[in-house]
Amino acid sequence: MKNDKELDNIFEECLERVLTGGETIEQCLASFPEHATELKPLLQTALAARETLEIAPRPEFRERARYQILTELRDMEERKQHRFSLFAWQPRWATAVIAVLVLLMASGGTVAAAGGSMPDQTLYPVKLATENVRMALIPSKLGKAEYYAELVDKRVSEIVNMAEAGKLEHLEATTRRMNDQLMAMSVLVGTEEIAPVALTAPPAAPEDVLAPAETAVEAPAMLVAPQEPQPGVMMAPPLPEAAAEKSPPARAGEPQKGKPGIKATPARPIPEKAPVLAPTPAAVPEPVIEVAEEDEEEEEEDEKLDKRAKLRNVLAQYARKHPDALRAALQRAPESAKPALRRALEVSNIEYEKLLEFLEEEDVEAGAED
Amino acid sequence: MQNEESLVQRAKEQDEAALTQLYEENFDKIYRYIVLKIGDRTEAEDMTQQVFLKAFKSISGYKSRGSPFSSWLFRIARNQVVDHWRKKSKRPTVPLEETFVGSGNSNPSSETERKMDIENLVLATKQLTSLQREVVSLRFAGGLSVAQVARLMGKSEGAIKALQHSAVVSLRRMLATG
Repeated sequence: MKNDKELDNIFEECLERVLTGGETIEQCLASFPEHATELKPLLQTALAARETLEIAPRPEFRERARYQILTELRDMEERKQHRFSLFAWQPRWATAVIAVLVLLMASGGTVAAAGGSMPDQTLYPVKLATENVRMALIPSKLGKAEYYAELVDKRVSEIVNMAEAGKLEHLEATTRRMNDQLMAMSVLVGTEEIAPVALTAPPAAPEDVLAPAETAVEAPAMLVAPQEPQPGVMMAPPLPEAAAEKSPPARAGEPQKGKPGIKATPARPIPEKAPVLAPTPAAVPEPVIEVAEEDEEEEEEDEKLDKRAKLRNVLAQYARKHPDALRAALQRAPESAKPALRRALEVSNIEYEKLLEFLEEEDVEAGAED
Repeated sequence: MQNEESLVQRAKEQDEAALTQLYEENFDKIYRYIVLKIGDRTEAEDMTQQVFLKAFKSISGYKSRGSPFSSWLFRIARNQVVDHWRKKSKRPTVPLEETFVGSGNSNPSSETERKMDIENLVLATKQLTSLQREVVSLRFAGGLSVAQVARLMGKSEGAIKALQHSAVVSLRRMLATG
């Protein structure tokens, strides 16, 4: 029994010395020659097991999971604050407008100066805050995605700059920021959605006050009732796109969430035939309105396609430019900065590939429909 | 420890940099632990994400009691794995004995330097007792020290060393014959 205990201790001591002390098995066993024959194969097995377990999750998964977790936490906090906020009634875009006006009035020069700042400089937080405000003011998803592409481009320059300066902490933080922005762009473009199973569902709200923003925005104009008061029917005000898409950038992947405070607009079909004896002024030009609305829809669709094509071009350009810049930095950067740079390179390669593939598939589908 | 305490304190205040640091420092360890326990790398990724989500959501109630933050994460991971197997047990599975070939009657010494692969290792650890498996998972996959494993499992360091030793003897025998 005593011998067993002694052997357990020696085995552990050697294991620890080899694993953390940098010794070889032979070096350690030289201290215990009487047990060397018995312990050597066991230590080899233990080390082989440890080596086999030197596995890691896919880097893009790791980054995405972090992004999703932090987004979920942010949402949770926001919901908590929203409950107690005095300004809970105030639309988020209005808050953003106020914020930007105050910011511009109070420190126009500072904001401008911060634009070119690097992560290790004092004004950098101002730069990030300005970016956030600007992002909040962009109403459309594609517009936001395009702005994210611009921000990723800025992050890449910053990463290269920090890598060359050997500023590891800033390099890693900027790499994470770039990865988050790439993820947010993916979510907006539609390649990724926050996996509902991986995240806790938001607290349920009563069905009658929930109207998914997408439905409200994309409801065909023909089916929306004219804005006239109806006794007993509570009408929602018209929903501008900006209000419908008022989520902040990092919350982009939450299409499944209800938007408390936005009431469902009951859609009433326009009657096929207007009453003969009492034609309303609106009944006569109805076909004209239909044509005009169809034109408008077509125009909107064309505009969307243009924006998508523009985004694809920008991304195709960045998909070449960014990896090149990161690879070049990898060659010049000090050893300590290389793991973060490699991660940035890997994530940007994967995300750009996915984004472009998705946008191309969509174009093919759109082409087929035409 | 002092550093970790202030880091956790900041994380409790939802400081994203602190949360990110805790995530970065621990994600791979928890992932390896789960891989070894369940044997499925993709599922282990999702489960690791769940562990961190749960941990960070309830971090305000975390008390260190002298243990590192990772011990708490491993405890959550262990519960997650238990839930996983509970759910799995409701579905029919192929018994491990049918997929793992090996007996103790061949010569183990000739095979020891052979490079293990993760599937064999997972199968081999499933032949261990549950305590041995837990020690191997926490020690070799999670990278915890004997003292940390002892604390986490509520046992003495001596007991953990004995479990570790006997587990490696069994692993060697099984891997050599597998």
